[in-house]
Amino acid sequence: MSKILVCDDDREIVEAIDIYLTQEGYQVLKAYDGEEALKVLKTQKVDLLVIDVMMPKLDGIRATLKIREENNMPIIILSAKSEDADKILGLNVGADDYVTKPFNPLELVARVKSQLRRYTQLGSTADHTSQAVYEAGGLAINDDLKEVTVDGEPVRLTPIEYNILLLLMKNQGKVFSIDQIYENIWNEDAIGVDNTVAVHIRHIREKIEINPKEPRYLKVVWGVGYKVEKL
Amino acid sequence: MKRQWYKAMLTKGILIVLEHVLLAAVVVSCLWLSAYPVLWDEVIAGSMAREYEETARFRGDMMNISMEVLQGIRRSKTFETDGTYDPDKIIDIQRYQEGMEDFEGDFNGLAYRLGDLCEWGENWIKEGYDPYLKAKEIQDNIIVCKKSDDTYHYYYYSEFKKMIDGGELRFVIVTDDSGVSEDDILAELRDGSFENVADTPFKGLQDIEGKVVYIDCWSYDGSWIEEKYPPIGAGSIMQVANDNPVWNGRLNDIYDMLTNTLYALGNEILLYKHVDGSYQEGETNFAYLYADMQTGQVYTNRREFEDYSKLEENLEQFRKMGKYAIVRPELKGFESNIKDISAKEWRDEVRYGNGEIGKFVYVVGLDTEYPVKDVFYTEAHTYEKYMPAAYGMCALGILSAVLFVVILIWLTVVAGRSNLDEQLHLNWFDGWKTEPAAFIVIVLWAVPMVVLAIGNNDIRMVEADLSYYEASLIYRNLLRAVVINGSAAVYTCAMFLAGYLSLVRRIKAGTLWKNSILRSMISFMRMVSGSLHAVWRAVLVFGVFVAVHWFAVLRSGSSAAMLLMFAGEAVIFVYLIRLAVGRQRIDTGVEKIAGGEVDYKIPLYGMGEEQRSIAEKINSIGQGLDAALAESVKSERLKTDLITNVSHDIKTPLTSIINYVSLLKQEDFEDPKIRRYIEVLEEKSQRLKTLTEDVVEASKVSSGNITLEYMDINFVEMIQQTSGEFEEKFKAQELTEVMMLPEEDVIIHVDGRQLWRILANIYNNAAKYAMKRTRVYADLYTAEHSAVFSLKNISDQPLNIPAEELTERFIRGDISRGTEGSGLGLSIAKTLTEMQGGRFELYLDGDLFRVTITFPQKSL
Repeated sequence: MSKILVCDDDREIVEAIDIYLTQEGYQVLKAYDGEEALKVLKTQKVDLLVIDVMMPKLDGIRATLKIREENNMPIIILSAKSEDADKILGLNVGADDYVTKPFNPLELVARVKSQLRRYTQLGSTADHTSQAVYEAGGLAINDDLKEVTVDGEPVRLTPIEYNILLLLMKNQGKVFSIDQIYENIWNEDAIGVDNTVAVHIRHIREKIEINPKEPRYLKVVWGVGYKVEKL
Repeated sequence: MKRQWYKAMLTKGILIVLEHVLLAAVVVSCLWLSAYPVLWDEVIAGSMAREYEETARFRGDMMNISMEVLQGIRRSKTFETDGTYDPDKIIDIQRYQEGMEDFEGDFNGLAYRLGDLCEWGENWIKEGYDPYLKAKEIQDNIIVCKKSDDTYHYYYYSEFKKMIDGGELRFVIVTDDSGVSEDDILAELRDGSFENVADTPFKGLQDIEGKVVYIDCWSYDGSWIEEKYPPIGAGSIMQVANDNPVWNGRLNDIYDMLTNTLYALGNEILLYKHVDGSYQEGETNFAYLYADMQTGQVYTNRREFEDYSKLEENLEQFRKMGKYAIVRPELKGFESNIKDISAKEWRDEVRYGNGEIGKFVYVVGLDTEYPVKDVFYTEAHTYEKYMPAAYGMCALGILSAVLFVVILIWLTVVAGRSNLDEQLHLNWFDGWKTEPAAFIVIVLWAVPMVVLAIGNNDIRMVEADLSYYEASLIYRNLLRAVVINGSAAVYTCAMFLAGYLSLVRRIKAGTLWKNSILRSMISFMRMVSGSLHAVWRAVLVFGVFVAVHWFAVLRSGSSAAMLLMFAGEAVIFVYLIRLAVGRQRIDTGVEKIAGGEVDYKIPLYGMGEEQRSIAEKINSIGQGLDAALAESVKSERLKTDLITNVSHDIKTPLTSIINYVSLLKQEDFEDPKIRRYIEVLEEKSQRLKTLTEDVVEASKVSSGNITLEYMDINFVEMIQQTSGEFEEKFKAQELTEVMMLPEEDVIIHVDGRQLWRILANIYNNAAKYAMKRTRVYADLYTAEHSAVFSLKNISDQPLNIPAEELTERFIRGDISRGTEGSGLGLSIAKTLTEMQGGRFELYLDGDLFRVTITFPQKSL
């Protein structure tokens, strides 16, 4: 049973998160400012930290920096600051995920789960015997088994979705335009292609991403194409 | 559109042509009528007589002839003895001159034969003799010598000289040192300029025996005439003046009197001869009878009326004539059958005009049968011939004139208008300045007219060299005159209409004054006087410059002046260059500041005082703008920050709301009412979330607080991607998307993420507000180096607000409708599009809603 520390100066939010996470079977520790969180961490082993940014005494960013000096457990920042700059800052100081307020509690739970899986089960030393396995962060595709997993959880894709994802996974970081994807997958000239590819991509995203609107793996390069980020 | 034929081009053209014809008709008819004075008088009087004898002209002619004859009769008394001309009558000059009744005979030594005087005077008048002019040509000057008894003797110089030479006369000269000599006096006398003054050495003339004959002498400077005939009983006028005691020393008087007499008699004899000759029996249809009731003497041109005793019967004869008039001293005795005749005028003319005072009867008559082919006959016939046509001509003239005016009014009303539109049209000529335009029209008209008038003296309908009037000569040049005057009228009309209609159009357009040179001049003067403090320096500099140059020109050759001139030019050159450079700098500065470079400073070195002050002011404007801009940027940023902070503060409680609503949903409430409440809470909290996010977004976008990362983007790909993202949303609303995309790539240079936001907002808008089960059209095409994307849909709700309002913040197609939107989508999309150099347009037509965004296409 994983221990999760939730730190926010808004007690009701802590309370709500506690309820959700407890429902999922996690043990929840609570803190109401950064210093308190540090104190808790000193006394107990915590598997995951959910921390707010704007807090009295010690804010989330500085707390994260301090925690990272000693700990490497997943940290999810939970903040009302939704600017890109804020997110980048948060992730740079050592957070593993960034969720903006107001958040969907179920999404938060999913992210917590995902981070824990990566942290506890997969680790970073996964051993792969087959050459036909491609990985990007928590996303893995095994072409031998025709199996796709996100943080170890299998995902069901249609053959075309699978092929598209495989193409992108094989060429991580490379941007494929709709026409290129179409020509690769359908083996036809891309004449008069409509939004078919785009729709498939969206479906894939919905299956592999926790929040399809803010994808971690399958990213849209607007006006250029799609790619799987090299993680 | 109404067919307003009355101001159509064709109508106007016809009217203008008609005007020319009409004016020509007016001119021709006027000329025709005025060529014949008799007819013209009738036209002027307003009613035309049917016959010549009824006309005003006839009445006048009768009167003139009658009075002429009467004067002839009076002359007869002077010139005739027993009814015939008597040249041997003796006329006393002084008595005649003084207007005495009795002047026949020699009363005081100065008299002439009537025949001599008449011939003399007649010649004078015919030759145009001027006695004063002749007096100057006199070669042999006259010398006046004064005797001691105050009598005078006249000599001709030649005669006088001979006497001096012969020793008969000698000058008495008291010798002194003044040096006056005999020869000097003689020379002056010869030239007619000698006049003795009181204290000269010349003291008179003495005869051969040494006796003083004349105490003084001088040159005569009075009148003089060439003597054609000698006075009765003397050899010459000078003899009379020397010998006759009455006339002694009065040479000037004699000459003057004689001159006047000669003129008077000359005229009278001419008149007498004219009347006597013209109105002889058989020469004329005119008959007259003058009876002096006191003497019983009768003057007449008809032998049958000579008997005074048959006066009454003779008068009866006159009454039977076609036209007659009987004049007596009293008005009541006046009789006549001449139309509109004035008894008093005739009577007064006879009595006072001719000095008839006694009892008389004067009868005139005209035989209208015209047995003699005289002037009256010709006149009557001519009148009869042309009178009937005059009605037509009158009618033509008046009708044409009236029509001309009517059409002119018509043209005035429609000038500058057209049946095609309601605008006022000015042609190229109307654009000219008023004064030159008027001048051109006048010159164009006047020059040919003057040339025509000089080349053709006979623009009247009579013979070219005809200075007198004669009935038989009229209308001789009719055709030629019609052609010349008709063309002149047509040309005049053309010029008049050109000028007049242009004037009318100018007045209508209000440009008559506005476009005049005078106004420009006045406004220039006003400008100068209104800003005298600003221009006095320019005026002064120019004045000095001009003065220096004129000085140099007037003193041409003077090297100092030339040097001054060159110095002046050099100063002006430097001044002008400095001015030009300064102006250029100010221009650049203003342009830069206007272009947004508000911290630009105009360099001030080397500028004149005036321009420096302007430049400094502009620089300070730039500074002010800079400060204002910084202030506004700052305030905009503060606003964004405020909104962001507020939104953070809203988000925290909102998180709790959403979380607890979500928790509530997990509770298994049986009561559907509670479930409904929870749904509402969830929906509204979600809406609040979107709204908060959108408000922050909108404020950031509108304050420009956003960084753009430009890159080359395939617009086609972009739309396909967007479409893919919205596939599900559209499906939920049962919307069908119809895409029309070009085959080839359409590359634009924008920020892809921002373009996604734009397209997402547009698509979202369609997904939210399009009517269910309709089609949404997404079209992309390229036109003139730009990529145009449009999304069309049918709105679910009526859109009864202007398109612009839709992009204004917080406004939606239907404000009252509760959906999840914030109403900021289109506003954000529009701002973002414009930030990236694109154009964002909304088009509403009924329920059709179309968004068009245009970006410049990147040329490959």
